[in-house]
Amino acid sequence: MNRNKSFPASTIRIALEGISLRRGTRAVLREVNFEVPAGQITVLFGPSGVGKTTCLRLIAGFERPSAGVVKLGEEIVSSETQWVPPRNRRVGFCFQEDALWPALTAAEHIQIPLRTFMNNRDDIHRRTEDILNSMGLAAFADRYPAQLSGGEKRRLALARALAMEPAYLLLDEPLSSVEGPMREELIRRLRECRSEDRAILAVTHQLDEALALGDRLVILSGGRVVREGQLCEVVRNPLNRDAAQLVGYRNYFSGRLENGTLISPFGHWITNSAGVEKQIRLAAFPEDFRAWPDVQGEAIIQECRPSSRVYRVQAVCSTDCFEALAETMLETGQRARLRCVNPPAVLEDRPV
Amino acid sequence: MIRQSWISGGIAVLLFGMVLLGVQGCGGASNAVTIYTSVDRDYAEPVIAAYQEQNPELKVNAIYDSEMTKTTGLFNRLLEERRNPQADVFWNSEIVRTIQLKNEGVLEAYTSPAAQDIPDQYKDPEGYWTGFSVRARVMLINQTLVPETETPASVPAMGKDIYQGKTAGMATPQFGTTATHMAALYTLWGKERFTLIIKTIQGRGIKMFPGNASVRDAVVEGIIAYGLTDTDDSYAALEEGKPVRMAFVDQGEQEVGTLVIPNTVALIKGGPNPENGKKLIDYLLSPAVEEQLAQSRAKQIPVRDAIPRPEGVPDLSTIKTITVDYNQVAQNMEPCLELLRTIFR
Amino acid sequence: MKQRFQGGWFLRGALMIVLILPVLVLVVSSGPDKAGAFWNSWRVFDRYALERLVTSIQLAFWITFFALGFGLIVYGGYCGLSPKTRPFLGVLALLPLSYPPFGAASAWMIFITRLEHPGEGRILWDAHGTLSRILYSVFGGGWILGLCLWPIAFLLLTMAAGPQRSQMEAAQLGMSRWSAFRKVVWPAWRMPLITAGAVIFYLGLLQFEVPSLLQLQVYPLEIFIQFTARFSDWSAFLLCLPYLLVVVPMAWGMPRAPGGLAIHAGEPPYRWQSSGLRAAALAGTALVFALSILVPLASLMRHAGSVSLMWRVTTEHAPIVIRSLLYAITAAAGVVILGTWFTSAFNTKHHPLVPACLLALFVLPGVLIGAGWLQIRSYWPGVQPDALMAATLLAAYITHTFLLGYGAGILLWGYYGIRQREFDSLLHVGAFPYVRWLLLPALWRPGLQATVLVMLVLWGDVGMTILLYPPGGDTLAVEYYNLLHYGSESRTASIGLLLLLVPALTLMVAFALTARARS
Repeated sequence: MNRNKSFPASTIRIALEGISLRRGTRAVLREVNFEVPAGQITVLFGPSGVGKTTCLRLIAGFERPSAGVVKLGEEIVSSETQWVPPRNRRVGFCFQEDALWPALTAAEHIQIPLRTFMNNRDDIHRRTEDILNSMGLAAFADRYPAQLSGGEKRRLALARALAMEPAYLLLDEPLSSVEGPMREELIRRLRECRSEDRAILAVTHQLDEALALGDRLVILSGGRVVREGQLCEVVRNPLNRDAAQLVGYRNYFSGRLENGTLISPFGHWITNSAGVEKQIRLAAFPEDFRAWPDVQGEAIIQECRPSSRVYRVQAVCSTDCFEALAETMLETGQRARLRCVNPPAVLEDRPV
Repeated sequence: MIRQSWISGGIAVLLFGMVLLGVQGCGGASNAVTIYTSVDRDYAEPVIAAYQEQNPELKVNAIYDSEMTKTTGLFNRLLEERRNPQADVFWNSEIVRTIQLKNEGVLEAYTSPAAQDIPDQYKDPEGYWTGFSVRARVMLINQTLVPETETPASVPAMGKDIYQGKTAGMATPQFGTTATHMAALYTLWGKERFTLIIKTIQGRGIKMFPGNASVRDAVVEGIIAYGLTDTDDSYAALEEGKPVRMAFVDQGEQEVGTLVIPNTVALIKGGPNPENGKKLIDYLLSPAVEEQLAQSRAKQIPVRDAIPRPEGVPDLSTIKTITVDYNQVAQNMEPCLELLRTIFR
Repeated sequence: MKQRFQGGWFLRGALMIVLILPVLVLVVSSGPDKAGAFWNSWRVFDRYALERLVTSIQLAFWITFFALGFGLIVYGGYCGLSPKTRPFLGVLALLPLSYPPFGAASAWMIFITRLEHPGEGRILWDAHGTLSRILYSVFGGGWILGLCLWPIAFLLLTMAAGPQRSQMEAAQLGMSRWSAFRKVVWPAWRMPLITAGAVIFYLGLLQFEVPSLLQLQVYPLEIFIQFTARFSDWSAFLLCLPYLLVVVPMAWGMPRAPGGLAIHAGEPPYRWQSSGLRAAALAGTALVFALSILVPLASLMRHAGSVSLMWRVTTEHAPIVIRSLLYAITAAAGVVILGTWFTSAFNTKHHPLVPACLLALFVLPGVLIGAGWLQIRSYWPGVQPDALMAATLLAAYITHTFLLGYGAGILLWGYYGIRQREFDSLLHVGAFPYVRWLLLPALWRPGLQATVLVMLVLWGDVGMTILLYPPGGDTLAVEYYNLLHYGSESRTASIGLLLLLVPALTLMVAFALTARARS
């Protein structure tokens, strides 16, 4: 795979098919399958240590899978028997640690990758200026990494990766150690990197980062993909407990689907599933639950803490724990009634 | 970028330096001669320089060494190079190593016309080496410590006489002319008598020094009352006016005499420029060089009677010398060294 | 996966073969002809050799004792300094390494001679007075070599020891000073001290030139007697076997060493709070520096006599100084560059066989390696050009010290960073542009420092140089070592001064050049 070969935009995609990776006796990834299409930011999300960065490294070619196949476009770039060197994959990589070159200025960080495929000095100079401008780094062109702030370093790392004109951009925890306005700025710039001839995969363990950045979400847990899809769809319908837990669902309860109605102890909702009757598991966000004092309520308050203009409540109902919001302060041990004010998500037994 | 130019410049300087290292002359030129010499550089260099001056069209390459260098020496270099020798001539400050090289097949026979007037005892019967300009083994005596009437110049009696609490000294016997002297005595006395005498000497607590020059310095300073050394070291001290006197060892009627150690010169077998080597040997064996060495600070004793000697340098015929076959001495060197190793621990 | 330069196993294998070739050639060519001779040759391991081994062990013990002691004292001074001034001490601490140990020994011998015989400048090689008796003993040898080798202990302590300020502050809450030392400070110092002690002890066993000057009958003397007095390369090699047997377990331990000797980053080691302790530590440091640098320097300067003589000797010896520097720096640069390339193949795993071979080449006496290269060179037909002779001398230097290049390479790649290397593997760029654009700017500073440190080791070499140098190409160290055996005169002392000052100046210039101009 080289720069001179042109690809139709529709072929730009990353695909992991049946990827497994063992390190010693430990299985890091098991049968991982997901796709990263062009034109969107796909976020690979999951707790620390589940193999997110490992997936990035497999795609970049820094590691080799024990089984399965990594495809970039239509080409298999990594498998047990095949391997394309990283420099031939048109991959741009932003490391969590930035991995900037301490002895080079910001401008040189851009020039070096450009020089690998451009010969004309003026073109290189012009393109360097463009890239630095696009990242808001024009004023720092002559500075060394040690002279830049955390956010500036991150932007420089991104600028360097983009200077390689990658078809595949891989970002490892792109917003880590970046706070406040700099973070918003970086999110904006990252989203500007989307284009039809580029597939972007970002990795994070912070849900708010995933929600701010991603168009698509792939949730990894225990070395497996537990949910994959467009961001809103995944958040609204996690489909399994693992995914639900990771995207922030905290309340799990049982319900019944009957005559097109979803019935549960915390509310009823009309559904589209007429004619289906079955027991189901439901999940809801704490923000979808409300609690108010009721001496005959089914729940007992465990804890109540203020949060902005409302109160966050933990309560026990039967043997289950719930998190809810309340408009007034509730006492520990007080009885309360819980209600789910928005339709909950329906969970299936196995991941999609 | 300026910094990259600087780095590139640094690399260029390094490469240039490497070229400089290699460009030390046109090694490989056919009009050249290479000599390896273990003679002290202070004495050998003027001799070789004079030859270069007389032959400006010739490139004379010299590698110097010291017989006292314990780490390694030109002998090893000659042995390791024997597949493709790079030296034409070997000029040794002593004789035993030269004979050992002959036995190893490193030398080539050459009888120089310049050596016709050199006595036969200083020439290899088969023509592999020729000796000239000898040193002798002497006892250097501190005049302040040792009375005029006494001359402790006997090797077997070393250490017996103590003067004002100061004993005798000698150089480590495993290297240099001291080793040669020991091997000669071993040859002369036989193993048993030699062992007995050396153990007795060692048992008297004589002091050991790294080399003959160190023995000289110790005598001059009065660290030891007298010490076994060579004539060249002794003459150097005398010339400086130090309070010492010199006596040739074992000159008594019943004694064996002193060992004279000639310089030896030999042609290297398979050397790159044998004809030039022969000419250099002819030069080294010439009376002019013997005279030059006699007149030098070393005051090496000419083997030719006709060569004028500086004051204080005796005629060889007036000195009682050990009569020994140098080839046998060379053969006995190894067992002698092995024995000395067990005694001097 | 594969990063830049990570392939090329064939080339690396070829380099290893080239490195061990001189030893193989020497052993094969010098091995005993007959089976009987083979069994006889093992008789070199007699009780006299054992006695010399015991002397070497005693000497190594004292060297280790003094080196660790001095190193710890200077480290104490280091901990007494503020973080801003510590780098200066760090560079100064390298100075004792710049002087060949035999040069330091000769300076001490002149110094003691002057103390016992005022007015006399020559070395009198005698254990006459009390001080001389002490000097010409294993204790004295340990003292001199301890003063030369303490920087090794100091460097390891600064690289790996703590404790850090936060650890000490935590210890001060509810712990006595003695408990804090026992439970916090000593555990931080223990591993570097043990490592330094092992390295220095082993180096002490290899010492020959200084004990030779002090007339100590040490084990390496056996090796050299076999080589230079008996012309027996095979016996000399046999006598090296005990060294090689120690090397094997050391090499197997080396891959674990980075874990066992954690190099800390970030917070610098704790600074003594007590001003009394600081003052004492700094006074001790000053004393160690005085003994290891000023005494040899002053002794040589005094004995060198007039400034005009020193100047004359300097100008006369300018060509030999330049030549000696070029040999040492060129070989050192070769060692570091080749070592860096060689280790680029290894990420975190080091096969023990590689450091085992390199350790073996390091501990074998240089003369044996030089002899092997001499034999290889003799295959060149006809007259050997001076450039070839110089090249084989450089090859011998590189062979003998490649272990240092291996270590330098590991440190340099660690400094460069594994993430950097991974990112670099994404760039479609040729090897030469990669080196020029990325590696050189990042690594030229530490690379130059490593080169100068290797140069210090090669500057004082005598054995290999004598065997291999081209006509007219001898070095300052060889000349000085030869002259020492004739006693010591003013001229010789002036040359000794050059031998000390040239590498010291080179060290200072190199570290000044590589000091970072920006924070």
